[in-house]
Amino acid sequence: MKVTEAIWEKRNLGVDCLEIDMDETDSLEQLDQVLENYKDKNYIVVKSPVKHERFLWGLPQRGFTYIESQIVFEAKKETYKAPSYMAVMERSTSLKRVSEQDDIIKALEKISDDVFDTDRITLDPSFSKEIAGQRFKNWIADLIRRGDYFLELYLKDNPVGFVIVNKDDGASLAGIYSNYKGKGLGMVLIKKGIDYVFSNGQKKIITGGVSSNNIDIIKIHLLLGFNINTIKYVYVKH
Amino acid sequence: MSNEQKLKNVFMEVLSLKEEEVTDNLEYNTITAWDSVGHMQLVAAMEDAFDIMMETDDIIDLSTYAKGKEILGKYGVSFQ
Repeated sequence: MKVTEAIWEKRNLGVDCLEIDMDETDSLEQLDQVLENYKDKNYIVVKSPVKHERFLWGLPQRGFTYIESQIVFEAKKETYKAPSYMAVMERSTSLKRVSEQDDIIKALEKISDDVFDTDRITLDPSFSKEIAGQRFKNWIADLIRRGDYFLELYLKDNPVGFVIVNKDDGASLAGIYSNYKGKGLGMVLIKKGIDYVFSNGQKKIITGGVSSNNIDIIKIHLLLGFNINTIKYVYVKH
Repeated sequence: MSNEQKLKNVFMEVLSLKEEEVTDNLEYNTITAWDSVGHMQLVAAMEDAFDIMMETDDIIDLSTYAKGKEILGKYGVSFQ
Protein backbone atom coordinates (compact mmCIF):
# COMPACT_ATOMS: atom_id res chain seq x y z
CA MET A 1 0.00 0.00 0.00
CA LYS A 2 1.36 3.39 -0.94
CA VAL A 3 0.05 6.33 1.06
CA THR A 4 0.72 9.86 -0.20
CA GLU A 5 -0.25 13.16 1.31
CA ALA A 6 -1.10 14.97 -1.92
CA ILE A 7 -0.11 18.42 -0.72
CA TRP A 8 -0.35 19.87 -4.27
CA GLU A 9 -4.12 19.38 -4.12
CA LYS A 10 -4.36 22.07 -1.45
CA ARG A 11 -3.28 24.54 -4.15
CA ASN A 12 -5.25 22.83 -6.90
CA LEU A 13 -8.50 21.93 -5.18
CA GLY A 14 -8.41 23.60 -1.78
CA VAL A 15 -8.55 20.25 0.02
CA ASP A 16 -6.32 18.21 2.31
CA CYS A 17 -5.96 15.19 0.10
CA LEU A 18 -4.73 11.70 0.85
CA GLU A 19 -4.02 9.24 -1.96
CA ILE A 20 -3.93 5.53 -1.19
CA ASP A 21 -2.73 3.12 -3.82
CA MET A 22 -3.62 -0.44 -2.82
CA ASP A 23 -2.44 -3.73 -4.23
CA GLU A 24 -3.71 -7.30 -4.13
CA THR A 25 -2.04 -8.05 -0.81
CA ASP A 26 -3.60 -5.15 1.09
CA SER A 27 -6.56 -5.63 3.38
CA LEU A 28 -9.49 -3.44 4.32
CA GLU A 29 -8.25 -3.56 7.91
CA GLN A 30 -5.01 -1.95 6.79
CA LEU A 31 -7.03 0.67 4.95
CA ASP A 32 -9.11 1.34 8.08
CA GLN A 33 -5.93 1.91 10.07
CA VAL A 34 -4.63 4.40 7.51
CA LEU A 35 -7.95 6.26 7.47
CA GLU A 36 -7.81 6.43 11.27
CA ASN A 37 -4.27 7.81 11.15
CA TYR A 38 -5.22 10.51 8.65
CA LYS A 39 -8.57 11.67 10.03
CA ASP A 40 -7.64 15.28 9.27
CA LYS A 41 -7.86 14.69 5.51
CA ASN A 42 -11.08 15.84 3.87
CA TYR A 43 -10.60 14.33 0.40
CA ILE A 44 -9.40 10.76 0.06
CA VAL A 45 -8.62 8.96 -3.18
CA VAL A 46 -8.21 5.19 -3.12
CA LYS A 47 -6.95 3.20 -6.08
CA SER A 48 -7.59 -0.52 -5.81
CA PRO A 49 -6.76 -3.42 -8.10
CA VAL A 50 -9.64 -4.76 -10.18
CA LYS A 51 -11.42 -8.10 -9.65
CA HIS A 52 -11.19 -8.22 -5.86
CA GLU A 53 -14.67 -8.18 -4.35
CA ARG A 54 -13.43 -7.06 -0.94
CA PHE A 55 -12.56 -3.68 -2.46
CA LEU A 56 -15.63 -3.55 -4.71
CA TRP A 57 -17.96 -3.94 -1.76
CA GLY A 58 -15.78 -2.79 1.11
CA LEU A 59 -14.97 0.68 -0.18
CA PRO A 60 -18.58 1.80 -0.79
CA GLN A 61 -19.40 0.43 2.66
CA ARG A 62 -16.82 2.86 4.00
CA GLY A 63 -18.42 5.82 2.26
CA PHE A 64 -16.30 5.81 -0.90
CA THR A 65 -17.80 6.45 -4.32
CA TYR A 66 -16.47 4.78 -7.46
CA ILE A 67 -15.52 7.50 -9.94
CA GLU A 68 -13.48 5.86 -12.68
CA SER A 69 -11.11 3.11 -13.62
CA GLN A 70 -7.58 4.05 -14.57
CA ILE A 71 -6.05 2.09 -17.41
CA VAL A 72 -2.29 2.02 -17.82
CA PHE A 73 -1.18 1.21 -21.36
CA GLU A 74 2.17 0.08 -22.66
CA ALA A 75 3.79 -0.07 -26.06
CA LYS A 76 7.11 -1.39 -27.28
CA LYS A 77 8.94 0.34 -30.06
CA GLU A 78 9.20 -2.79 -32.19
CA THR A 79 5.48 -3.59 -32.05
CA TYR A 80 4.07 -0.07 -32.11
CA LYS A 81 2.43 0.70 -35.45
CA ALA A 82 0.09 3.48 -36.47
CA PRO A 83 -2.76 2.67 -38.86
CA SER A 84 -2.19 3.84 -42.43
CA TYR A 85 -5.25 6.10 -42.53
CA MET A 86 -3.55 8.41 -40.01
CA ALA A 87 -1.44 9.70 -42.84
CA VAL A 88 -4.35 11.84 -44.05
CA MET A 89 -4.18 14.03 -40.93
CA GLU A 90 -0.51 13.67 -40.22
CA ARG A 91 0.73 15.00 -43.53
CA SER A 92 0.30 18.67 -42.63
CA THR A 93 1.32 18.45 -38.98
CA SER A 94 4.59 18.87 -37.13
CA LEU A 95 5.73 18.89 -33.52
CA LYS A 96 7.84 21.76 -32.24
CA ARG A 97 9.46 22.21 -28.88
CA VAL A 98 8.53 25.40 -27.04
CA SER A 99 11.47 26.46 -24.90
CA GLU A 100 11.04 30.11 -24.07
CA GLN A 101 9.14 30.77 -20.85
CA ASP A 102 7.01 33.53 -22.41
CA ASP A 103 6.01 31.24 -25.27
CA ILE A 104 5.08 28.49 -22.83
CA ILE A 105 2.91 30.93 -20.89
CA LYS A 106 1.17 32.00 -24.12
CA ALA A 107 0.61 28.37 -25.00
CA LEU A 108 -0.86 27.63 -21.57
CA GLU A 109 -3.36 30.45 -22.11
CA LYS A 110 -4.73 28.56 -25.11
CA ILE A 111 -5.64 25.62 -22.93
CA SER A 112 -9.30 26.08 -22.14
CA ASP A 113 -10.87 25.19 -18.82
CA ASP A 114 -12.78 22.31 -20.37
CA VAL A 115 -9.71 20.61 -21.80
CA PHE A 116 -10.09 17.83 -19.28
CA ASP A 117 -13.79 17.06 -19.39
CA THR A 118 -13.62 13.40 -18.46
CA ASP A 119 -11.40 13.38 -15.40
CA ARG A 120 -12.51 12.63 -11.85
CA ILE A 121 -12.29 16.27 -10.79
CA THR A 122 -14.64 17.48 -13.54
CA LEU A 123 -17.06 14.68 -12.74
CA ASP A 124 -17.08 15.37 -9.01
CA PRO A 125 -19.90 17.78 -8.00
CA SER A 126 -17.71 18.98 -5.13
CA PHE A 127 -15.42 20.56 -7.73
CA SER A 128 -16.01 22.06 -11.19
CA LYS A 129 -14.63 21.92 -14.70
CA GLU A 130 -12.97 25.28 -14.11
CA ILE A 131 -11.14 23.87 -11.08
CA ALA A 132 -10.21 20.79 -13.10
CA GLY A 133 -8.87 22.98 -15.90
CA GLN A 134 -6.75 25.10 -13.56
CA ARG A 135 -5.47 21.96 -11.83
CA PHE A 136 -4.41 20.64 -15.21
CA LYS A 137 -2.51 23.83 -16.00
CA ASN A 138 -0.82 23.73 -12.58
CA TRP A 139 0.20 20.15 -13.27
CA ILE A 140 1.72 21.14 -16.61
CA ALA A 141 3.59 24.01 -14.96
CA ASP A 142 4.96 21.59 -12.33
CA LEU A 143 6.17 19.21 -15.04
CA ILE A 144 7.89 22.00 -16.94
CA ARG A 145 9.57 23.21 -13.74
CA ARG A 146 11.00 19.72 -13.23
CA GLY A 147 12.49 19.84 -16.72
CA ASP A 148 9.93 18.18 -18.98
CA TYR A 149 9.59 19.45 -22.52
CA PHE A 150 6.57 21.34 -23.81
CA LEU A 151 5.91 20.41 -27.42
CA GLU A 152 3.27 22.02 -29.61
CA LEU A 153 1.52 20.32 -32.49
CA TYR A 154 1.22 22.49 -35.56
CA LEU A 155 -1.27 22.04 -38.35
CA LYS A 156 0.45 23.95 -41.14
CA ASP A 157 1.27 27.22 -39.33
CA ASN A 158 -1.31 26.96 -36.57
CA PRO A 159 -0.59 25.54 -33.12
CA VAL A 160 -3.45 23.14 -32.40
CA GLY A 161 -2.36 21.19 -29.35
CA PHE A 162 0.43 20.27 -27.00
CA VAL A 163 2.14 17.31 -25.37
CA ILE A 164 4.44 17.23 -22.34
CA VAL A 165 7.36 14.86 -22.72
CA ASN A 166 9.90 13.66 -20.20
CA LYS A 167 13.06 12.27 -21.73
CA ASP A 168 13.12 9.41 -19.23
CA ASP A 169 9.46 8.55 -18.62
CA GLY A 170 7.90 9.40 -21.96
CA ALA A 171 4.86 11.51 -22.77
CA SER A 172 2.50 12.48 -19.97
CA LEU A 173 -0.14 15.15 -20.52
CA ALA A 174 -1.53 16.20 -23.85
CA GLY A 175 -4.46 18.14 -25.21
CA ILE A 176 -5.93 19.75 -28.29
CA TYR A 177 -6.78 23.45 -28.09
CA SER A 178 -10.53 23.96 -28.01
CA ASN A 179 -10.94 25.42 -31.53
CA TYR A 180 -9.44 22.29 -33.03
CA LYS A 181 -11.15 19.59 -31.00
CA GLY A 182 -13.08 16.82 -32.73
CA LYS A 183 -11.08 16.93 -35.96
CA GLY A 184 -9.00 13.77 -35.53
CA LEU A 185 -5.99 15.71 -34.28
CA GLY A 186 -5.97 14.02 -30.86
CA MET A 187 -4.80 10.78 -32.38
CA VAL A 188 -2.16 12.59 -34.44
CA LEU A 189 -0.96 14.38 -31.32
CA ILE A 190 -0.57 11.20 -29.32
CA LYS A 191 1.16 9.47 -32.21
CA LYS A 192 3.58 12.34 -32.70
CA GLY A 193 4.34 12.36 -28.97
CA ILE A 194 5.07 8.64 -29.06
CA ASP A 195 7.25 9.03 -32.16
CA TYR A 196 9.21 11.74 -30.34
CA VAL A 197 9.78 9.56 -27.29
CA PHE A 198 10.82 6.52 -29.33
CA SER A 199 13.09 8.63 -31.53
CA ASN A 200 14.92 9.78 -28.40
CA GLY A 201 16.02 6.28 -27.49
CA GLN A 202 13.21 4.84 -25.41
CA LYS A 203 12.20 1.30 -26.32
CA LYS A 204 9.05 1.04 -24.23
CA ILE A 205 6.37 3.46 -23.11
CA ILE A 206 4.14 2.97 -20.10
CA THR A 207 1.44 5.60 -19.85
CA GLY A 208 -0.03 7.18 -16.77
CA GLY A 209 -3.56 6.13 -15.86
CA VAL A 210 -6.07 6.89 -18.61
CA SER A 211 -9.57 7.42 -17.26
CA SER A 212 -12.24 4.92 -18.28
CA ASN A 213 -14.44 7.98 -18.85
CA ASN A 214 -12.20 9.03 -21.71
CA ILE A 215 -13.40 6.59 -24.35
CA ASP A 216 -11.77 8.48 -27.24
CA ILE A 217 -8.30 8.27 -25.71
CA ILE A 218 -8.73 4.59 -24.83
CA LYS A 219 -9.75 3.92 -28.42
CA ILE A 220 -6.75 5.83 -29.73
CA HIS A 221 -4.28 3.91 -27.59
CA LEU A 222 -5.73 0.59 -28.70
CA LEU A 223 -5.72 1.67 -32.36
CA LEU A 224 -2.07 2.68 -32.02
CA GLY A 225 -1.22 -0.84 -30.89
CA PHE A 226 -0.90 -0.25 -27.15
CA ASN A 227 -1.64 -3.11 -24.78
CA ILE A 228 -3.26 -2.83 -21.39
CA ASN A 229 -0.70 -3.02 -18.58
CA THR A 230 -2.92 -2.61 -15.50
CA ILE A 231 -6.35 -1.33 -14.52
CA LYS A 232 -7.28 0.10 -11.15
CA TYR A 233 -10.59 1.21 -9.73
CA VAL A 234 -10.58 4.74 -8.33
CA TYR A 235 -12.80 5.71 -5.42
CA VAL A 236 -13.16 9.07 -3.73
CA LYS A 237 -14.56 10.27 -0.44
CA HIS A 238 -15.14 13.76 0.90
CA MET B 1 -21.04 3.09 -61.10
CA SER B 2 -21.95 6.72 -60.51
CA ASN B 3 -19.84 8.94 -58.27
CA GLU B 4 -22.84 9.27 -55.95
CA GLN B 5 -23.01 5.51 -55.53
CA LYS B 6 -19.25 5.30 -55.13
CA LEU B 7 -19.32 7.86 -52.34
CA LYS B 8 -22.30 6.20 -50.68
CA ASN B 9 -20.44 2.90 -50.73
CA VAL B 10 -17.49 4.54 -49.00
CA PHE B 11 -19.69 5.93 -46.24
CA MET B 12 -21.59 2.67 -45.88
CA GLU B 13 -18.47 0.59 -45.62
CA VAL B 14 -16.39 2.83 -43.37
CA LEU B 15 -19.20 3.82 -41.02
CA SER B 16 -21.10 0.51 -41.20
CA LEU B 17 -24.30 2.16 -42.38
CA LYS B 18 -27.23 1.01 -44.50
CA GLU B 19 -27.74 2.84 -47.78
CA GLU B 20 -30.85 4.62 -46.55
CA GLU B 21 -28.85 6.03 -43.61
CA VAL B 22 -26.44 7.83 -45.90
CA THR B 23 -28.27 11.08 -46.51
CA ASP B 24 -27.08 14.59 -47.27
CA ASN B 25 -27.67 15.50 -43.63
CA LEU B 26 -25.50 12.73 -42.22
CA GLU B 27 -23.16 14.67 -39.95
CA TYR B 28 -19.80 14.16 -38.28
CA ASN B 29 -19.95 13.44 -34.53
CA THR B 30 -23.67 12.70 -34.58
CA ILE B 31 -23.22 8.94 -34.90
CA THR B 32 -20.79 6.77 -32.94
CA ALA B 33 -18.92 5.52 -35.99
CA TRP B 34 -18.22 8.99 -37.36
CA ASP B 35 -15.96 10.19 -34.58
CA SER B 36 -12.46 11.57 -35.12
CA VAL B 37 -11.04 8.11 -35.88
CA GLY B 38 -13.92 7.31 -38.22
CA HIS B 39 -13.30 10.66 -39.87
CA MET B 40 -9.70 9.78 -40.74
CA GLN B 41 -10.81 6.38 -42.04
CA LEU B 42 -13.49 8.06 -44.15
CA VAL B 43 -11.07 10.55 -45.66
CA ALA B 44 -8.55 7.81 -46.44
CA ALA B 45 -11.26 5.74 -48.12
CA MET B 46 -12.53 8.73 -50.11
CA GLU B 47 -9.00 9.47 -51.31
CA ASP B 48 -8.59 5.84 -52.39
CA ALA B 49 -11.98 5.62 -54.08
CA PHE B 50 -11.56 8.84 -56.07
CA ASP B 51 -7.77 8.77 -56.45
CA ILE B 52 -7.23 12.20 -54.91
CA MET B 53 -5.25 13.69 -52.03
CA MET B 54 -7.31 16.11 -50.01
CA GLU B 55 -6.01 19.36 -48.60
CA THR B 56 -5.99 19.56 -44.82
CA ASP B 57 -8.55 22.39 -44.81
CA ASP B 58 -10.93 20.19 -46.78
CA ILE B 59 -10.36 17.27 -44.43
CA ILE B 60 -11.29 19.48 -41.50
CA ASP B 61 -14.25 21.00 -43.38
CA LEU B 62 -15.76 17.60 -44.18
CA SER B 63 -18.68 17.83 -41.80
CA THR B 64 -21.58 16.15 -43.64
CA TYR B 65 -22.17 13.78 -46.51
CA ALA B 66 -23.42 16.71 -48.60
CA LYS B 67 -20.27 18.66 -47.78
CA GLY B 68 -18.30 15.64 -48.89
CA LYS B 69 -19.81 15.93 -52.37
CA GLU B 70 -19.04 19.63 -52.45
CA ILE B 71 -15.43 19.05 -51.43
CA LEU B 72 -14.97 16.28 -53.98
CA GLY B 73 -16.25 18.71 -56.59
CA LYS B 74 -13.12 20.80 -55.97
CA TYR B 75 -11.07 17.81 -57.05
CA GLY B 76 -12.98 17.35 -60.28
CA VAL B 77 -15.46 14.76 -59.05
CA SER B 78 -18.93 15.59 -60.35
CA PHE B 79 -22.26 14.49 -58.91
CA GLN B 80 -24.82 15.04 -61.66
